Amino acid sequence: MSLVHLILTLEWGILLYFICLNGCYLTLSIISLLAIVRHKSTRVLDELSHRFNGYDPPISILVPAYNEEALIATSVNSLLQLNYGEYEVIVINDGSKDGTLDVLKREFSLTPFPEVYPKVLKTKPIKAVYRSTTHPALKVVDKENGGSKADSINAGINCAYHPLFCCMDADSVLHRDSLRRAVQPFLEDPTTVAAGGSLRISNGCTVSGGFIVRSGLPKNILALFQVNEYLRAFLAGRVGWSTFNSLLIISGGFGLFHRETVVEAGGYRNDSLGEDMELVIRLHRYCRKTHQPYRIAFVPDPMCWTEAPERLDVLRKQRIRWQRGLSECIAWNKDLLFCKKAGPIGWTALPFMAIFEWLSPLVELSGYFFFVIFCALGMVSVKGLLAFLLLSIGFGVLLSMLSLFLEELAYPIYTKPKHTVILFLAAIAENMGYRQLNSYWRLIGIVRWARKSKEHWGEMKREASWITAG
Amino acid sequence: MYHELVLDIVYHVGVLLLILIALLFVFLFLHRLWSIYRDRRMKQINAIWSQHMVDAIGGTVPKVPKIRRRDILTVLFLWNRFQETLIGESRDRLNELARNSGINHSARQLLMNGRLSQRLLAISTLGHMRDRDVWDRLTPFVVSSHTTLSVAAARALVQINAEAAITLVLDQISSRDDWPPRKTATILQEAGADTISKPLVRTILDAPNPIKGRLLPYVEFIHQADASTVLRQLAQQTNDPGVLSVCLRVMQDPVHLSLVRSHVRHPESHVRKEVAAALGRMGSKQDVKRLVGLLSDEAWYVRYEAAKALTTLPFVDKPYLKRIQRSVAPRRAKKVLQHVIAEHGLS
Repeated sequence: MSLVHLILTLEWGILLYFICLNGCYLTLSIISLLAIVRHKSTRVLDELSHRFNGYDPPISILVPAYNEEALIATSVNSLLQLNYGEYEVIVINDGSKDGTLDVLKREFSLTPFPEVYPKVLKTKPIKAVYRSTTHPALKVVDKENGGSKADSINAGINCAYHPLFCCMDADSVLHRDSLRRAVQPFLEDPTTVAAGGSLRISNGCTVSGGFIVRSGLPKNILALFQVNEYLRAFLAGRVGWSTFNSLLIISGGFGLFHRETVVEAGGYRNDSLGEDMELVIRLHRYCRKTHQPYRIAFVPDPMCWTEAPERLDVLRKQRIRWQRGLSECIAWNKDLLFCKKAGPIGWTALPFMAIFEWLSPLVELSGYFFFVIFCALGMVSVKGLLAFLLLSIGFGVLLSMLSLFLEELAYPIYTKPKHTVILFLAAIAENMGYRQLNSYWRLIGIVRWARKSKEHWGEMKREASWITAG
Repeated sequence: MYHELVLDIVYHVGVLLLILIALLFVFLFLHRLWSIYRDRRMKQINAIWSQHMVDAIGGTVPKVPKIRRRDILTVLFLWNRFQETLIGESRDRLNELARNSGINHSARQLLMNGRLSQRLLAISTLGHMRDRDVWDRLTPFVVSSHTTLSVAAARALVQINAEAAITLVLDQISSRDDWPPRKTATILQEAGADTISKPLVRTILDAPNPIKGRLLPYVEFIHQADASTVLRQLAQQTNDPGVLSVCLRVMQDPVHLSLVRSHVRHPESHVRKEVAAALGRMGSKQDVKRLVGLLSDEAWYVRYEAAKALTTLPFVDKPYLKRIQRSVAPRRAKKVLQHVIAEHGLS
């Protein structure tokens, strides 16, 4: 094969991949648009009033905490004020080295409790269980460090009494109505086994009493780029997938699960870096295997605010870990790819994840690499260069704009016109370096996964980069 | 040549994308401005109409301004919100206000020509207003495959004429499984025990087992005598542990005690759990022994429910519980009792 043929084949291959990738994203955006319009229309009567009755299932909120002394009291305080009928808050102190447990003991008058619970999931030993004498709904589980969030949540599931559990991060800020909104799919369809909610970035927002009182955009450019990323991932991606019951990820930051089904499926997997995605795929697998009708839903309303990394090193670690988690999940579930018994996930979501989410850094960076080589060798015309840039940046910006449009339709939280302008500019700017850097980190994630190098679940440094009111 | 053509196409697609992005941005920006204006307008309308509604509830007949077409949904939403939080005469006064200001006519128009969300709001309005003229228009919505529309229409029909609507509503409840139980419960509660007791009992008895299980929880909204009859009959006859469990869960009347006791050694643990809970609700002194027995059950949640049941019995105080704890032999029974005693102490 001559060099020219090789170049042409490469060009065509990458172009085809690019068309398919963006075509899929555009299709998902359109599906999400229709789903959001429908969701908004049907919700009008639920917004009128909500009287809790015995038909709202009680919920256990699980809050895994590792070295969270700075934020844990505020987080728990806000969780105790949610607008929901019956719920309990279970904080799992995963062998913190700082004063997390002391803060909790002091702030909530904890007392040791002779808790008896079914050990349905295997975890590191639980040292003690505490109950609050001032807040009956609060329980603190003090356990040995399990090295993973999964181990903490499994311990929490063991101690949870209610039929549904909500999994979240210690630094997440919930909306007062989060549980009420997230539980809707379970009320509407009794076969629902899990429901995810939309996560937003808390950087730049104003927080008071543990709740977001004013939304805003972060000043930090990295966090700003992540605002667009989250909108794309949650509104264009997950809403779309959930419409045909093919949702593969419910973010660890906020998700509601049917406890019994999760226990029967084996709970969270301890050795996974992408434990949230791994569990959801296993739920699909379990329900299909047992021929159990099921639904894994996604509610587009913003439910939870999470802090985005503002430093390159932290963001890098996060992205590498995410990509490793994705690689693990795809490798562990490769038998579901194009498998008849896997249903829609085997033919749509999982292949999409494998071909477009998992492989994309490799293809994208190869594309850039060859493009630079060809330019250096004078093999690309000015028109070719322009066409490449227009297409590559254009699609990126278009997808971001579409997710902004979905946000505007679904539940706009960035309500000032200047927010629209800033997010539009960020959507353009993220294509000039940030996106490529992300692909590079993700490629490192793939390489590390392939080399099976050691990676820890890790601890994210909290910057508390929201604004505290009053 | 061929390569150039591809480049041309790609280039033009890129330019098209740019135009699309620019248009989308302009649209979003203008939409945002419009949303700000709309929100401001809504606040104004809400402030004005909240006052009128408060006046109407207070008994004065306010002189209301004509509602502009663009504000009708805001007013309808607010009016429905008031209705949902009120009871008794206040609702009638709001209805009068709605008739005076033409809200009912707007709702009828929206019912005919509105989008889904507008239609839902219209159905809710007409239901609250007990507008008998729209009965025939609402009936087809009840059998609609659209769950929200169907539930909303059923509720409206029950509000308009519960007796006439109940057969249709119960037919839907038993023939479809998409109605959310909490909304179904609201509809039946609003219909009232006098209206639903007999038809619900009939429907439950005629229904196959899985549907019986779905309908049984609603017996809490019927007269106790009817509930007792149907629960006893079903619990005695059924071979289905699922149906039996639900029966036990909703039993409140001590007349069922002998029946409850007869299932204390049921092979299904979920039934034994319900037995423990039922004994906790209605049990007498002689049931303490049974509950103590269940403290050693192989299933954790049966033990826990039995321990909880012991703490809820009015004649079992903390010293009595401690005595039971000392007397029971299995370690797991002791531990679960220790747990609930501590829980009891906290509450």
